[in-house]
Amino acid sequence: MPFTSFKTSSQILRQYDIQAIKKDFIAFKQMQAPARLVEDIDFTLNNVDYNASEIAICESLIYPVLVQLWKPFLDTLVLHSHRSWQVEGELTGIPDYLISAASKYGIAVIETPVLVAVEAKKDNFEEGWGQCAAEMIAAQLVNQNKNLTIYGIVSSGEQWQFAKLHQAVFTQSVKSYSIFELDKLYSVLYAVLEDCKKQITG
Amino acid sequence: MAFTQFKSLGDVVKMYDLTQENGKFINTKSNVIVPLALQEDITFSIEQDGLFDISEAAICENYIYPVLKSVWKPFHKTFLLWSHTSITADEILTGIPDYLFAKRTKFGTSVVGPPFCIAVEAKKDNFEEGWGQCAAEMVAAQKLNGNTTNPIFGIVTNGDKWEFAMLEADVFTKETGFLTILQLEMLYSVIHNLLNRL
Repeated sequence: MPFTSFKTSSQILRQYDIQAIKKDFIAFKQMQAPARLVEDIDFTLNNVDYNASEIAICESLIYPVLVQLWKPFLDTLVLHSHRSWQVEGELTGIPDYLISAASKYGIAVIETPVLVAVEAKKDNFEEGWGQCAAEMIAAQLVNQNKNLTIYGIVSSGEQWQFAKLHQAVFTQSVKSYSIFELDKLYSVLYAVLEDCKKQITG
Repeated sequence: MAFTQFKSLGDVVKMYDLTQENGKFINTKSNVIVPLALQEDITFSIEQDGLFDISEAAICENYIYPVLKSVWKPFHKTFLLWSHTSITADEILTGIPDYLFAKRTKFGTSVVGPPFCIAVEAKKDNFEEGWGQCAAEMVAAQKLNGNTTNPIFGIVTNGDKWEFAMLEADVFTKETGFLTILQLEMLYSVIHNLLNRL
């Protein structure tokens, strides 16, 4: 089934018998976002009609944030954008963004996916989480290791929500974070990527 | 009909009875400096060894949009850069140009003004189809401007290779040759000079 066919997270969580809880789970230390990212996002928020299209939201807000955050983790993590992904014929589709381990096979394969990020189409977070949860479960299936935590992000560009999947528990963060508080958002994302890296390097 | 139904430049010039010429109209004179941030971004993208060529979206995000946005920044008070926003000139000339530059109107970012430059991502490196789509969007732009005297510019790119054209009255001039992303300074200047003409 395509990821987008899941319209709520509960639909897919029930299908895979995964417990859902709500709890703030990200411990982060306050950091400062790089100056050039701050400048770029500030320009965008003030001058770009980013809500004109879904693609505009991705390329002017979500992607610039993700790519800057990825840069310190280049050696261990790979950021894939809108790459089609087929998981054993069962779950399939195009995750907006996916972070996986750097593979010895180069970019040809998606190895050990640990994070997926979904743009909330028309600000619909409920549908966004349906799709994101499906992609997180797909990642867990690929990894064949339920002890590996899979992170999920749903973002409207302005608002960012987080969840994690560990074993058979899906934990959704109560708090959401805003692009208007970029330092905090950067800090939270950094903590998540740091954990992705730690899991991969062991 | 929609822009994407024009599969080649020939489809458009026949339908709208345009004269097609090849020529040199772009201005490669470089009197601007490429911002360091853009230079870094593009170098970084190229260094990722094909990772960003995997999807059309990645090409837009890592090459096309950063270049267009960076060139646009000094002009942002006069022009707006629109991404994947629909325009309609009539029932045939309608659809979603990948990118367009338009004069700011009093409606700000809520209404697309008359476009004067269109940029199209060549899907799967197919420049022939890319030009069909771009030329149709340029004709639409000309209609939306309500006059044929102002030139309309068009860009088709796969991120790596950048081609240019101009529509002035009923003459469609395709720039001979192309630029590549590796010639970033020249590419930046050429697009800057296009915006500066207006």
